[in-house]
Amino acid sequence: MKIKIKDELKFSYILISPMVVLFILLGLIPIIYSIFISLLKWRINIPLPPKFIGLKNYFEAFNDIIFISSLFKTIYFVVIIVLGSIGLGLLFSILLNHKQIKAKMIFLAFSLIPWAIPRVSGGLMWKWIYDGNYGILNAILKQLNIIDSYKWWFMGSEWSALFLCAIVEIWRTSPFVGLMFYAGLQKIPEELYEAASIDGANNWQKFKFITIPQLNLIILAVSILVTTWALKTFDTVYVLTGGGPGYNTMITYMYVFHQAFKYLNIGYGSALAYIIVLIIIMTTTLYYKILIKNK
Amino acid sequence: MKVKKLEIKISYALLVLIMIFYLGPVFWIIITSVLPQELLTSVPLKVNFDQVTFDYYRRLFISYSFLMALKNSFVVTSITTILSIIIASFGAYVVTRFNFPGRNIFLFSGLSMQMGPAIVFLIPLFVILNKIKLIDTHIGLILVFLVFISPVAMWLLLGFFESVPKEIEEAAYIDGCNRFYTLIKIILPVVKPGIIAASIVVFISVWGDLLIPLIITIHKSTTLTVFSSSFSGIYEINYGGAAATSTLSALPTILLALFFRNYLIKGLIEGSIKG
Repeated sequence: MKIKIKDELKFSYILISPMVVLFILLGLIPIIYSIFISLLKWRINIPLPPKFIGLKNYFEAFNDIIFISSLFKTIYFVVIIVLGSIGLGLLFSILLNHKQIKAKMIFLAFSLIPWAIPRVSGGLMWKWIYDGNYGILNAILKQLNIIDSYKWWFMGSEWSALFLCAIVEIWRTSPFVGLMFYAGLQKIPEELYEAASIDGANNWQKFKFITIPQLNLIILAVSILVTTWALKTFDTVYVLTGGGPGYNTMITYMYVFHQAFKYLNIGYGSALAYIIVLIIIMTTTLYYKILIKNK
Repeated sequence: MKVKKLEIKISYALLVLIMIFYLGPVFWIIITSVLPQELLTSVPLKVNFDQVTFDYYRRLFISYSFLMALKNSFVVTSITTILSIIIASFGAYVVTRFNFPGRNIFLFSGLSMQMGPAIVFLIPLFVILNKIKLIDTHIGLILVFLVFISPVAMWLLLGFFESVPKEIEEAAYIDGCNRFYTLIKIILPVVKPGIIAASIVVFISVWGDLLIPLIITIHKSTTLTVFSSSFSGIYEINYGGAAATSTLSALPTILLALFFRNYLIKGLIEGSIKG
């Protein structure tokens, strides 16, 4: 028996070794190295050798106005995406879950297209729609007499520019969210709704007292996922605005990329990246706290 | 009863509206990609299908950098998909079958690779790969993709491996099969739907990623996403060319998603709700 267990252990270690080696070589070593990098003044486009400066990069971040404002922009951006994706996903899944709606699989499959195409392609699609000279959004709004001349949408305030970027992210995230909710809805026993109908509940009451409590856990799990995705939005904003105009749509993740790979200031960039790690850990713990409280 | 009928009509109307939001931009870019420049830059907008042109596509297919990016994307994405599915199914199998020391650490590191911001890893990886001369190579790019995507694939597969009944395995042992043979010949066929779903998710994610190739490649190993993103200036954009590239790079993933829709939908539901 002992030999068998030893055998099993050996077998399982052999099977997971490729992943473990990968994690160590390309995950653990880089992460330790990057802690070290974050303590250096290191610009790789300057021939000066890296200099150890302790925690100075981290302190500098809190005097960096662009970085601080990027944090607020990120919060705004993430909140819109989370609320928008969950709202639209919920609407889509509830509509689809109705017994008399046909061709559910077709709706589901086609709804996944925005999720499936590369973010860069999606970004270019929306950039063309938003375009200030020839965009179809301008054409439609002008036709409907909502605006009287073509507008450069991203040139307005930073909040409206970020909102436009967030719509693109909602466009690609909400189908996935909708699918998750749809799966959750199907697990809610039909009897609950029937009993409520007998008691004379209307649709809104059914939604509020049956659907939402039953979906609680999935809503939370999806919120965690969407929040981390939204925090790490890069491709879409890179294509739509590149963080501009000026620094208007410079969300934190984008700013880290700028520092590290545009200005090649990798010491400072690493320190900023760790602040994002901290934000992710904080938000995830917050969600888990809510989750445990709800259980 | 009449109220019910109205309710269904409204539901359909709303669903169609949502689908227009989802698919409208895709149709619009496809239409854009076959219209001549004069029509695209006409105000007010005109769409005239008599003037359909494949000029943007023709220009792409004689462009050396496009062809190279296309080839790179296919090579890197296919190899990454195959390798990550192999190592991830080994991982998922072990995690669901054995309680080995370090199991939780293993799962936790997978989760952190998935949740953590990729850029934290990419800054040091850029420096390291530069030093060992793997920057701008297929191998370097594949390795970096593997470390980020194989935990995702493993997570998707866990649910499928869990649902394989233990009896199947035990029966195979009694028949004298060894462990590896059992895994390959007995268990993998049972989890085939999961493998297909995970492969599609991996393919879609790797094919569509911009950040990693933007950092890890410079010129000769660059991918289609990097190529497409170069169409994006702030003011003046060659929208015809951008539309054609977007359409072409979206096409493989759209086809995959639609063709394997049943596997994909089931796989996403299984993998995500469990994880």
